[in-house]
Amino acid sequence: MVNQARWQRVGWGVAAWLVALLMFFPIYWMIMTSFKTEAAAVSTPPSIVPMEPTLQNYETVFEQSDYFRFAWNSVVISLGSTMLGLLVAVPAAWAMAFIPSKRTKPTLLWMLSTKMLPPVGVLVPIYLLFRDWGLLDTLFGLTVVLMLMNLPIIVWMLYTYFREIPKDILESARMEGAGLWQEVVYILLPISLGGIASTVLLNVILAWNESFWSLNLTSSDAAPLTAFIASYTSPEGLFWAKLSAASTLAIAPILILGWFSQKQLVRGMTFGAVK
Amino acid sequence: MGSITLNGVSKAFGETNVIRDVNLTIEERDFVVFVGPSGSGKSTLLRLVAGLEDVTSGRIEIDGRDVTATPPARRNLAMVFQSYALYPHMSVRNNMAFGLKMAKEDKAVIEQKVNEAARILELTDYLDRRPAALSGGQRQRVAIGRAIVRDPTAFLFDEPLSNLDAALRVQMRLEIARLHQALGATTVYVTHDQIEAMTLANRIVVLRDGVAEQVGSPLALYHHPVNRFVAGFIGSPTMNFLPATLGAADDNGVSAWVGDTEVPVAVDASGHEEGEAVTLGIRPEHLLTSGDSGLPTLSGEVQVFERLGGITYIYLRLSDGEVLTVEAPGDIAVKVGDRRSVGIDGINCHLFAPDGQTLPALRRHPLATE
Ligand SMILES: Nc1ncnc2c1ncn2[C@@H]1O[C@H](COP(=O)(O)OP(=O)(O)OP(=O)(O)O)[C@@H](O)[C@H]1O
Ligand SMILES: [Mg+2]
Repeated sequence: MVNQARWQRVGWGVAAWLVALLMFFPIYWMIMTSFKTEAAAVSTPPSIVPMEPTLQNYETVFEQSDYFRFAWNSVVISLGSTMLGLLVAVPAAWAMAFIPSKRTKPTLLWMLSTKMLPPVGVLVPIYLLFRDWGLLDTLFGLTVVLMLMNLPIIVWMLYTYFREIPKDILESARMEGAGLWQEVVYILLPISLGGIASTVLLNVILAWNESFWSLNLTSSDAAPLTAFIASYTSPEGLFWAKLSAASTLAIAPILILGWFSQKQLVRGMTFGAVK
Repeated sequence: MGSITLNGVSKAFGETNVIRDVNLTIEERDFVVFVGPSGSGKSTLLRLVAGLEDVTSGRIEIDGRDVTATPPARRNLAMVFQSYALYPHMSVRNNMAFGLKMAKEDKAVIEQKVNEAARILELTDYLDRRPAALSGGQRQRVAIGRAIVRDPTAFLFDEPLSNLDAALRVQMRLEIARLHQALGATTVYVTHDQIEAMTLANRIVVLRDGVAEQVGSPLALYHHPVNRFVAGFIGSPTMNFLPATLGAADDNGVSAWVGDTEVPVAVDASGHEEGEAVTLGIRPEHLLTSGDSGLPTLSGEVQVFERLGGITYIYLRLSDGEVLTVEAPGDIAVKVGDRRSVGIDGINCHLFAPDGQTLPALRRHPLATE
């Protein structure tokens, strides 16, 4: 019996490693390709590791385009849209969790269901609005759009965290003379700090990786890293190695962030269901 | 400082009326206990006083000031929750200081008050711990400490001891009684526990389906319940209820027939007819098992008995099938199947009309003050 349980564990371990490798492989391949020469990148059979590693691709990428401006735009947009989202979502989730009504659940589901629609459905109206309001290719415009796109997820996540907080604790603070603002700042937010951190992380990542809106609503001034990668695909034909270098540069910051916050992230992605 | 008045207070959640027209005056320094079965509205009534729920109709006054529309933060009441509701992210010290900080008290004053409360409640060694690192009893004391540091107009407790084990419950009950004596603050206390209600209260409010059935001192409720519900609710084990028939009435009361046994009961039966069906109530502790007392007797067969050490409960099945709970001495000789007689003294009996109302006693029990 003991042996069987042991083998079962080993089996699961092997399976988990296989899946992890499978998922990691494209990233590995991209990073390796970025260190190959263009010729080596397209050679068959491909080599698992670069035979003559080179930094040439990176040099070219830095020469050809202003990586840091794109990166800065990405930082501003992802942090900005997340913070803006929190500002709207905290009160919304607070109301839904602590003064629920008959319509709370349907509202939540409706909000979440908007995430299921293809965003291209609202592209034209939003594009026209942005054009008329002069928001095309502005950081502010893209930040607001991404905030709105991710808002349902932020609200939903915060709602699930807030709902786990016993109402008594907030009522107790109320009895002790805390106003609404104090109740939120001194009690609600500190208690749900872990949940808020997960929410922030997940949304920063979602906003960082977002490409549909950034490609469609920006051209140069407000273009984030996703647009930067895309710029390596078309005009000069496909240069695999340089494209890989650009992509590696684009995902590096988020990869590092994700690595250091794995625990929070996993918690966040289970939407507060497990603790 | 510390009087609370409820004027025709009602509360409905949607269509359901949970509190119905409650009128109650709580005097300064009173210790009022709400009792009642589960779902009778005790917590809701307390939360209405606290301001955590809004009344549907009626008025609430604290110290003569109308607070019906005042939010809880500005009622200056302290509440101790059944779940303790401590702030999990704060140390014991900060838990106790929170209310004072909200009131913008001076740092030094806060420090001194918190230390004083910690000393009284023997929490000094735990001031820097988080609630998660405390035992149930300690958490309970922090919750109480948090309430007393603020020097509120009144204390509200919602079943504060129900999560503690039996020994700790007794200890905390004494603690609360001692605190009330020392601070003399008006207290409203919700409980399921008979003993807590009887020992702590100077007035008890018995609730049923949101209606205050009776308000009075513990012994007034024990000796003079106004109806069958209160009679059955106060006292443990619960009062025995036997079907009876009214007999002849005179100046000393009326006789009630339980089967072939005639029991003279000192109540005013005016308005009731001879031969009317009533219910006779007698508490287990008032039935006499000792020999020949010259009292009327009821006899039956011992069905079960429970020995608690100091006392024994005997469950006696009468000839008509009714089961009578009898409190007997701890060392009484008894076997299942025995036939036994118990003496029944009319002085301890209550009669209830078919609608459940008590026929009024001719004399009040000397200890049963209002
Ligand atoms: N927020 C609410 N919404 C709807 N109904 C409620 C709400 N709070 C309480 N009730 C109902 O009101 C009634 C009284 O509840 P309350 O909690 O006051 O009872 P209680 O006497 O404190 O019971 P217990 O002894 O079990 O604590 C119950 O029937 C309950 O279902
Ligand atoms: Mg309750």
